[in-house]
Amino acid sequence: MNTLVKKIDLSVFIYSIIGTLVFSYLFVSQISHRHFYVFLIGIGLGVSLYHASFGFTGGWRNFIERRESSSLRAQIIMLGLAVILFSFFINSNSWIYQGKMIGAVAPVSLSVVIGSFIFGLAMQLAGGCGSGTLFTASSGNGKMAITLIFFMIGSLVGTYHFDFWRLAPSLGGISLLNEYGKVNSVLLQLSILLMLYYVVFKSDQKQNSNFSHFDIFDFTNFKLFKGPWPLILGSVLLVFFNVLMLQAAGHPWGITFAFSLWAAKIVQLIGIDVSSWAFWKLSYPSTALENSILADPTTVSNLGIIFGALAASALAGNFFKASLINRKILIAAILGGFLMGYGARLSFGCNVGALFSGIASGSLHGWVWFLFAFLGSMVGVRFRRVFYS
Amino acid sequence: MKRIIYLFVLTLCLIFAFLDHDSNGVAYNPLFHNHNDQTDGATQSIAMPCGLGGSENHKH
Repeated sequence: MNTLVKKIDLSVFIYSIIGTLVFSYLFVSQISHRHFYVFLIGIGLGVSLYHASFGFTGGWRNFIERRESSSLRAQIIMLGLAVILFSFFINSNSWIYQGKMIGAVAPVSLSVVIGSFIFGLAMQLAGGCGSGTLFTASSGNGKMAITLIFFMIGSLVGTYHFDFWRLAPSLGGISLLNEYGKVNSVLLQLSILLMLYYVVFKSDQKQNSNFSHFDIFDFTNFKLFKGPWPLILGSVLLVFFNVLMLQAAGHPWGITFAFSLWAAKIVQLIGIDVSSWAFWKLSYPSTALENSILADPTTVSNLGIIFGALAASALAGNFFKASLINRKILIAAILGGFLMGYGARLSFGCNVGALFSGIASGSLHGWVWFLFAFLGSMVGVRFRRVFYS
Repeated sequence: MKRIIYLFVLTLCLIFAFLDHDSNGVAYNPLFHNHNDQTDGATQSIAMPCGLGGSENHKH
């Protein structure tokens, strides 16, 4: 117990608790209880992401380079669980408010193909995806903080070019739930995920003799407060919190719209009027731009993730662990962050809003995103060697 | 020292959020939209749920 207390970063932990209390009070007293719930869900996501080290980037890279599949298998299981649970809730009434919940359905378009490919490539350069960048930057990783800044800039440039990309060929939004019905769409998606799991574990088994299906269930070093948590717990909790997000916010979990909004608000301070850009004239973005930044639910959940990851890293005694940053790595962080931001706007989200929430919602664009981001990652892993050698 | 600077920068960002909230307020609450409203044809083609930055079948 004494050792545990010594390792906790008490000052950072207290900072995260005070921040949580202040924002909780603000949401309850000035905005709405639902914003408060979204904030709490964000905290749960931040702690889960940090303690389970749940990132898409490293998992994909491990598979591409060494055929190590544990993280990728955990992601496939997560998607399978989400597909089943979301099918019960999409388009039905929420438990928390009076109204229907809607899925993350976006168009299947050329911009999604190009944007997701760019995102996949860039996340390997940066060493983190949308959620990965946010939770690692929040836990004191300086390199990822730089990535986050350029993620915001790239995302804003993406909104500037929105008018150009919206003209790209598009099939429109395709919801498998609407096209094939609940049972058929769930069976179809689960079949694809099962096939993927089989291909992934077979190629791991072929290359790595010590393969085990149960590695992601390993609770040997599990510590509730300090971490680490096994990958499967991360998978289950991310699905659980995404379902709660759907119930509280009325839409699934997303991250990157808030990055665009933050950047837009900042550049407006220095006199750049983004409200004349086509993207910021759309119904929701224009509303978000005119309103308090704290009214935007994506910002609220991101704030929760920041405080959750901060608290988790303090409990683990890992806040601000010095990371090696040389000139090449700095360039990779800047380039990776910028391209991820740009790609996320083109492809209607990142690994969370487009892939996780998209597939969970039965949106075909989520599957297209998965395919092309993975192809982009295969190229990105090669480029990465230039910067990290 | 670097840790303190890091937390200081984070605090500045949070203060920015407070100031933005203070100056803009919440004239319209995005979580209380009417899901049955229909958008016009121009925004329909880039449908996404409001909270994810889109405008699927919503009017504000």
